[in-house]
Amino acid sequence: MINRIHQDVVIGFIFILVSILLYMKTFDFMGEAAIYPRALIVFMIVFASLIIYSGLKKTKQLKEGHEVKYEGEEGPLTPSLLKSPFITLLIVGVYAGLLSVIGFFPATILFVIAFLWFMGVKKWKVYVLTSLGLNLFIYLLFVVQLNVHLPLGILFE
Amino acid sequence: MSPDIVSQIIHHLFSIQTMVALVVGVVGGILVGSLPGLSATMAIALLIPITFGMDPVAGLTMLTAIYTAAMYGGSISAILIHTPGTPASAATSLDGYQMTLKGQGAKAIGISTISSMIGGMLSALALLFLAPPLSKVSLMFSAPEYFLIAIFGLTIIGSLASKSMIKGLTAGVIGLLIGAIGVDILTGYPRFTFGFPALETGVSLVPAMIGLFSLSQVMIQAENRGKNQGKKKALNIEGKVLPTWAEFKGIFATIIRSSGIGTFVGMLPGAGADIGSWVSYNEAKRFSKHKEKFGKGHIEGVAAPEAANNAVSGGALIPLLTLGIPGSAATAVLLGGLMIQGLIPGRELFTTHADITYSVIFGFIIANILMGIIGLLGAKYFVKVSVVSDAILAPIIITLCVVGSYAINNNVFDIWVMIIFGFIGYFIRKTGFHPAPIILGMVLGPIAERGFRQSVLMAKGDLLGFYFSRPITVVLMILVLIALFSPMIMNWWVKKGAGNFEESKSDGDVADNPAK
Repeated sequence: MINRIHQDVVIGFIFILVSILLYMKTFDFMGEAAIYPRALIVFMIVFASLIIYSGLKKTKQLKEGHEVKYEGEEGPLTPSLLKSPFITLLIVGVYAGLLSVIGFFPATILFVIAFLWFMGVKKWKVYVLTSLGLNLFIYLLFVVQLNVHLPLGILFE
Repeated sequence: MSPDIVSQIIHHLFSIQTMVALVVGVVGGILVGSLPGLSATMAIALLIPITFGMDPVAGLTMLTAIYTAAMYGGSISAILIHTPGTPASAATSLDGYQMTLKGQGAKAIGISTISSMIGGMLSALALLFLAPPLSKVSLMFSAPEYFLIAIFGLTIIGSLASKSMIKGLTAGVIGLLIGAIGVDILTGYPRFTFGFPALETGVSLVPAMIGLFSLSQVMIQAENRGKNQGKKKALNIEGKVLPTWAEFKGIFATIIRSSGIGTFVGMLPGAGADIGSWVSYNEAKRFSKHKEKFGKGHIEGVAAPEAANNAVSGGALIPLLTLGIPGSAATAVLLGGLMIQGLIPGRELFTTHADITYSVIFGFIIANILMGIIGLLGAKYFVKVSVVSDAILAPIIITLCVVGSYAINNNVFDIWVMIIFGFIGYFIRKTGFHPAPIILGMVLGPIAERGFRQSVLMAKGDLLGFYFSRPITVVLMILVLIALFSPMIMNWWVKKGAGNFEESKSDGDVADNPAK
């Protein structure tokens, strides 16, 4: 079962896999430019192996029925835990894609409404105040004060 | 300082832009600091894009004001709702919340404000007097020293992630690898750009920082979506804010001692405000005539950690401005802010750019005073903000992440960089890594590589002999070794204090997650 393996083992293998891919990429580099990244990748593989080693020790503890302590922000990643953060990321991705098409301010209003709904906010006043207040704040600070040209979107350019 | 510079400093500081930046920085810092979960580091990362368009003095003063004010802001929620707004205020919540329960919440806020102000000011003075002579050391630096300084900066990675040294070092290497993206400075060959022209100048630092610290934080908070978190409730503040003269005299020695400890701890690489405040709390208890009152709502127990965590902010700026060594996550992000303004830490900051640097230091002193005044007047209102729900904060923070990443280069590509780093930040934080070493690696990696490759050319074949023939490099190599072993000593020092927190846990309801 996957949850009987400590996540450090999986992470270690992901790091090693990425390291190998990056190392292959360095074969195209010109002579001296490759030395430094290659040295870093070697360090990376050594550290990832140590993480796998400690992960295997923790896995053994888990199999023996001992609890493995997580400290601070660290915690076991389960599908149910990851659901909300991933939808968050997805909404942000859609928002970023949308703002180049329909422009920054319309996209922001849509995003704020969608996100408040996703977070379970029910009061309509919160929707109106947050989306309008935030857009006004950004307009005054970034457009008026700092002269940033926020994306207008390909539809309005 | 020549009279010429003094007039320039007055000119810089008393401009409308700097004054507005100071007030906005202090108020913004207190607000962000008082929100549980949002740290000073995150506030600085999120607000760097705003300072980019400002004049350097106004922009940098604002960042240092945010830094010190966020440190103080954390104490408001620690005292009134027993949830430290930043990890640096965990020690404050011990006696601070007990005072609130006894109906002395206002006084606890008052003592925290005064202690924070004095701690911050004393450390700012230390910065003013210690930094210029120390910066002379950097005059003797050449390629090998720059390489070792960068390595020294990287060794604090181990201490930033003292829970697992290997994971700290791994995160550092990830940062170094990301720092290697872009055109190689010596051969002109593009490395790891994967065909994106935007990556030829390297990954933009600010969007990366915003993603790692701010977007990942929103993702972590989203985990609790829909869960009934039990509404946080702020108790009403009762009584007088200002302590009596006798009380002030009673804590004066504690404040001075804690300011000293805080400034010293701040100067050490890898030891931040949380360590400074715990150590001061311990020492205050050791020196106190009323040891038994600690943990039960004693004013010295509020004064000590609060003076110390603000003193750390000034102390941490000393190695940052003189040698370019960031001592903590917040200063690593501040280093990014300095570089964006085109300022490289070292002697030049105190000669060529003396007018800017001294203005920022004086601005930092004023920020601490302003923080005291605004804190004493406005604590009642700030605490109302600390109970705003995550559901409303999350979309606001995300929008600021997006607009900030874009505004740095007016480039949509950077928004995607921010999102990718948000994803990376979330995963590494959930698997026991710290995002700060990645930032350090990104900043220091190119410096280390250039220094090393140039020193290889300078050594003409005998690299080891070359390094050992230079006195400063030998000292630096010893310092690197010390830095590698200091986390163990620091851990021991903090553990002495953490015991106090454990004891108090059994006394009633406790902050959600003091080790945040």
